[in-house]
Amino acid sequence: MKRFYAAPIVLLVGACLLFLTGWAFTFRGSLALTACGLLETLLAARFLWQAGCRGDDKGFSGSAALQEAGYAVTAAGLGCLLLQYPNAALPFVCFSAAALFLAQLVFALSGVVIATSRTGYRLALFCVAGVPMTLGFAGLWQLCQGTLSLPMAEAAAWVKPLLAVVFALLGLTWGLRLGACGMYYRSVSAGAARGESRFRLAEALAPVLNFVLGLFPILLVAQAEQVLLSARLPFPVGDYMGLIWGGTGRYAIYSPLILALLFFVLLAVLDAVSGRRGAAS
Amino acid sequence: MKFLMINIGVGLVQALALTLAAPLLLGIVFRLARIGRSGPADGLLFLYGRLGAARFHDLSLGPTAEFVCVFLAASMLPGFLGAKITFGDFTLLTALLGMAALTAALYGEGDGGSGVPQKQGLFEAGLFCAALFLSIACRGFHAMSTMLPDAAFQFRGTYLTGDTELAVLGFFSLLAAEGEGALRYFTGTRADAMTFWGALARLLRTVVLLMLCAELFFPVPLPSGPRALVTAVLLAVALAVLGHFRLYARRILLTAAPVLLFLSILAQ
Repeated sequence: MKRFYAAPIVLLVGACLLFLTGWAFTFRGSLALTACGLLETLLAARFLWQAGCRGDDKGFSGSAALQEAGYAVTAAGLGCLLLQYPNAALPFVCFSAAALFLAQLVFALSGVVIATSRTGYRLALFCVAGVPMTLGFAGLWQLCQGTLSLPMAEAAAWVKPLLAVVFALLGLTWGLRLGACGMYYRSVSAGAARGESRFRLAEALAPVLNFVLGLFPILLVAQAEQVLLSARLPFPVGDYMGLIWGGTGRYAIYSPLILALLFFVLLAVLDAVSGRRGAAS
Repeated sequence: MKFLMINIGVGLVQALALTLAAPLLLGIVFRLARIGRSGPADGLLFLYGRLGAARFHDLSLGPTAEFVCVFLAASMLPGFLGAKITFGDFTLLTALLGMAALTAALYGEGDGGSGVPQKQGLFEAGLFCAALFLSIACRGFHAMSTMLPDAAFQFRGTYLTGDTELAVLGFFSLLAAEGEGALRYFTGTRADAMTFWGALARLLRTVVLLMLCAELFFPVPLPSGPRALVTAVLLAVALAVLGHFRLYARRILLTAAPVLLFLSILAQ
């Protein structure tokens, strides 16, 4: 493990300790947890960019995983913070964001896949970048909503700087993540063009599997929501599907699912068309 | 379902109208921005000519995918023909604009003709996304809710206050950076190498930000169309001033945008 990964890993361990000791559920502890997550996200985004520029496979996977972990810790910290207030529906948004980021970490960021795959990993990079319709985007969406819920629970002056810092860092780190994915692809594809590339079935299938696992499981979530609603739990579950795919407003005019599906269908058609043209030429 | 399909249809018509009008609108902006500069000025319709001269037959995947992303974002704009968007929709709009840069990088040449190196462009995506996310926070914080159908109206009701002015300035800096980039793209030395869909995506992205700025962050009690035109004139003035002083403004403005938006939230 490189030395410069020490700082985000120490932050991650610190966040775990906060949870294990139960201090995360106090007011100061939840603030510390949020700060840990944000700092870790920022550091990991910086390393991710550097690894993307170098085309460093292991560094890229490791930094991306650390960044996902940072997002999850931030979401968990905000959820713990919102637990201090009587509105029980608000922490649910943040904790569900943390769960989505952890799922993204497990499924879409299986670092081995990216590190060993030399063909067709553009598809996998879409998942890593967290574009719409993937787990990463759904988590980001939930985290933004949870952050924006904070002033509804607490009207104190410190909420404003916290909200501003969280949004600035979310935007900056997510933008850097997009850029790093682009740079990584360019670095690796330049290297692959120079070297000998052999087609192996596993390398072709791995990104597809990665992409499929990284997609937001809307049907599964719908079923789970039905089960939870019928179970009459003591805490509010809310309209989770509506929250995710319809935005938070009554005037949600688009379903992101339809838009994202349209995009991927068009991309597939264009990919096929351009491939045929390339072969013909 | 019927309501959803009608809204999607209206949104797509809006995006198509914006795509068709984008070269004219930005032609006016760039023509005004050239006032006071030496050398022959381009006509109002010169961007249609540039698009016609671009490589249309070369259907490369990157610029086309980039255009699709920006087109979808344009179909979600508030005001004009589309309905008022919510917080969730605004997040998606931001993500689609960010995704355009990624698809361009992954699938093709993207900003290859802009004169801005790919690495620099991708690095600037961070500042761009930070500014857009902070603009979400500004908007949501004014409404004090995640239910944001009327946030634009509330925002308009609070102009001539310090925090609103900072927010407007911040988003306008982002718009000016985008306009500066588009101006370089279409008048630079490598403009001949641009592809049709990539150039159209660049135009449409600038117009999307212009409409967004006019709708959400330009607090003048006018309908959407005239407000967008006033914002376009202001953009032209900003570009003319930046060109006159020969500042390399793009990165400075991209840095200023999140800083100002950040300060606007603190000032509330």
